[in-house]
Amino acid sequence: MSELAVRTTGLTKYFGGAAAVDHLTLSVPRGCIYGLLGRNGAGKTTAIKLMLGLLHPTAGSSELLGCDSRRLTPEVRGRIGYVTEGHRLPRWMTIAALARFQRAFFPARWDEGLFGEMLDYFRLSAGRKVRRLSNGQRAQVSLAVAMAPDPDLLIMDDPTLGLDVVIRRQFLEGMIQLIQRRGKTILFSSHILGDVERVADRIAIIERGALRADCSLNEFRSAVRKVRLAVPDGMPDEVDIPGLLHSRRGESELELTLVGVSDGQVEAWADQVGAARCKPVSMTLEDQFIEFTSPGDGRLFEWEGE
Amino acid sequence: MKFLALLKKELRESAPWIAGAAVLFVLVGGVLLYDRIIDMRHYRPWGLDPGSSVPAYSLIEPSPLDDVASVLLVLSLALGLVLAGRQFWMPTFLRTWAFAVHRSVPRLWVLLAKLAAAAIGFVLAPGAVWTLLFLFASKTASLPYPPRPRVLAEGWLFVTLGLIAYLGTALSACRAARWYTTGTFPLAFAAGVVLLAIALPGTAVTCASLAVGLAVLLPQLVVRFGAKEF
Repeated sequence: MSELAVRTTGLTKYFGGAAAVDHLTLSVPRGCIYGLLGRNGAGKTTAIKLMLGLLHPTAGSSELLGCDSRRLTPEVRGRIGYVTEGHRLPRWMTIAALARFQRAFFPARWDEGLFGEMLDYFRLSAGRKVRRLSNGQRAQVSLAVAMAPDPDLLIMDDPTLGLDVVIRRQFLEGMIQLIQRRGKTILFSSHILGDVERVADRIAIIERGALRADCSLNEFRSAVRKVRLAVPDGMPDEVDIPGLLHSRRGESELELTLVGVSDGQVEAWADQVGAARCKPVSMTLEDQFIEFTSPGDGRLFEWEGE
Repeated sequence: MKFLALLKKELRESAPWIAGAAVLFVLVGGVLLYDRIIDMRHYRPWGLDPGSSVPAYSLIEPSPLDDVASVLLVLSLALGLVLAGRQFWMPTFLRTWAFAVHRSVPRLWVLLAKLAAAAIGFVLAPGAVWTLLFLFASKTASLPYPPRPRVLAEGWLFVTLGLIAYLGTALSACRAARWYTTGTFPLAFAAGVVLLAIALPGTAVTCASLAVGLAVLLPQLVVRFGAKEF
């Protein structure tokens, strides 16, 4: 059995002349909680649909649970839970009818106890119609119907999109509880960094369809950093330190955002340009993400952690 | 079990349209048939006075169900368009395709459930109502010449024409091309088949047109749906 739950190799999708996903190569180990990050329109949904075989790749390939995405068998699909973007469910169904419908596809795997537990946790009554549910409640129902068949791999496309802070927290905590209890593989996309920070072991950052980073969350946190250099004797003509994302020049200060650069390298470069002082600037994950994904000097970095 | 779940979902989603078509057909068809029966009651003493003669065909043609058959044709075609719209266009607008298709069944089953629901809809709404109206016209004592069984069969051909409209619309929705470009080709083809079947005389020609329509549209729909991107 493959150790990877998800593997994509050079996955590419063009819509007309535009690349929505561009040579995406990533691996999601089993048992991992993997956050797929990217700004709106970065290609996260397209990448997920390609993985699930709902779209056909222009080039490259992907595998879910060792099975080619273009030929996912009913048996493999039965082991993959999918929470769609926007939690689109048949509006005419009640929650109970939705559960009956889902259960028919998983006669052996459906966990009625878990489903009931999740409804209780989210304080939802089974008799309510989907059309009467708020966005947040639909998200909760989506999670419950995706989790109740006990999937080996759960794929969620921006599951917390449009939810308020309280519901988002409740949704994530529900998810965390399940993950801890069952040790399943979860791949979820998001552009809400706080959510990712709370649950993900590993992240991939997609920008304009291309993979920019694939590493553990901790590696990313320590790799992307900002330093402020005091340069009293005049600015250097060119900032040529490797791993540079952005540089901002003040009157006598130079602010550098760097990726994958050691302290020693920064200090050596600071000495070289005659910087008097080198001070690290604290960054939140959101700051790091913004700096990492903002276009800098026309360059597009690709960085992979250890 | 899995197919049944899919079929029930499709039937439930199509039910309002099928029920609406049935009610409409009962009302409009019933009124037209009643009106024709009243007409024919007057016609009998007028046409068969002693010493007068009428051509033999005028005793049989027109059938009391002619007007109803026109309604049947329009209703079948409309139901075909509406059902295919509900089953193949609406999930695109509501973005529920992914939920519908990511299932532990072959994708073909999802299509078969839709086709089966549509077939049941056609049998129930225009088909069964047509048959009931025919039986009523045949049994009622007030008609001097009951409609011939051939009229019943012709009505069912009209119902099948609705299925052609359904398949053309469904195939249009499944094509990757934009609906207003080559995406309209299946619809245009279905319209051609329907026009041919109506315009050319003879039941054999109608049957042949229907067979060609089904033979072209159905396999293409199966292939297109299997390869469709959602």
